Amino acid sequence: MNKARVMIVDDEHDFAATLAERLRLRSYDTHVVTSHNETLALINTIKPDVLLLDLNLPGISGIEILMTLRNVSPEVEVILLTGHMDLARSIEGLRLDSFHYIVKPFDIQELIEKIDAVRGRHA
Amino acid sequence: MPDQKIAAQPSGNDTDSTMAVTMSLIIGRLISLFIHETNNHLATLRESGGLGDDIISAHNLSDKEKLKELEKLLTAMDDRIGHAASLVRTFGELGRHMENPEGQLDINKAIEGVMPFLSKIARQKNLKIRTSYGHKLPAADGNFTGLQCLILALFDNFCLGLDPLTTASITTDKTISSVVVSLSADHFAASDDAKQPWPSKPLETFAVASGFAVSKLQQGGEVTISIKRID
Repeated sequence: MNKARVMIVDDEHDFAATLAERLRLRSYDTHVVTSHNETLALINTIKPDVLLLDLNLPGISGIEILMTLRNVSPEVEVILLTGHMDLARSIEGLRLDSFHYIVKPFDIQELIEKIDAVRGRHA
Repeated sequence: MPDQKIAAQPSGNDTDSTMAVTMSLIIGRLISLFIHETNNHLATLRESGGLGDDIISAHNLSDKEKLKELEKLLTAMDDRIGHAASLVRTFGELGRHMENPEGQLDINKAIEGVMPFLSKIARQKNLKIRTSYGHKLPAADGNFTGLQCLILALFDNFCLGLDPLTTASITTDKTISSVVVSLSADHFAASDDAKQPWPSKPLETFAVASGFAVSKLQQGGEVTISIKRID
């Protein structure tokens, strides 16, 4: 199975770019965007298998982003990146159970396992 | 934060209780902003350190290009540690002032002490922030921590009514009898949040009990919030 195409959405550009490089070194095809608008503009061009989505993008709530993504690109697997465990739990509480999350800062191996697991569901 | 949350608390006539609840909400907000920003720094540092490790493991370090890449990474990490250390220092100073809230009220210093948190709030809402500090403002004794908490809570609520990309201005100046902090913007939206009674009764109580008066002036889409020390 080919490695997943991963789109990283995070307004912390240094973090996103570094993470993208680490994943690229592990043969993932990575793309970085830093805003909600950019995500919507590019998601159907890049067609990622997995979207790593920061829940605290400027100017929009995490829930709004998730709902929009579900409409625009329902097939993409989403892994939420958050600095708040509580926020991740509240998303779970909303029964948006097609989403997975990982709390920053995380271990790259833990992230890779999650990416491969969600990717495997569609392989 | 908050104004909605604060408004939802029982206000009653018990000023002490209102003060305690309001202070606890503001401190909770501060801690949450601090942790979020710290986690961002830590996450970036962790990935940068990991990338450095990846480069060392995967490449021959006599490769000058790779050494340059590593050097750039280490410089970025050093910068990031500097930002994180500055945030921790600012947070520590807030705590130190909370232990001794009364003291000389340097209004510009009070704003600078919460600026990383105001900037974070503005960034989360995709707003720009502009500051203009008055020079040689007369100092007086007052509740330094109360003022910082008030600025944070008012700014947080103020931003709820602003459209993305709006510039929120924070200005300090002297009047005939006092000094004043103003929050202003020229595109204040009539959102549901902005239509809430403002400031909420508990926040008003908090302001007065801390020795400050808050007023709001709205002309069309332009709004100015003023905080003034009660003499």
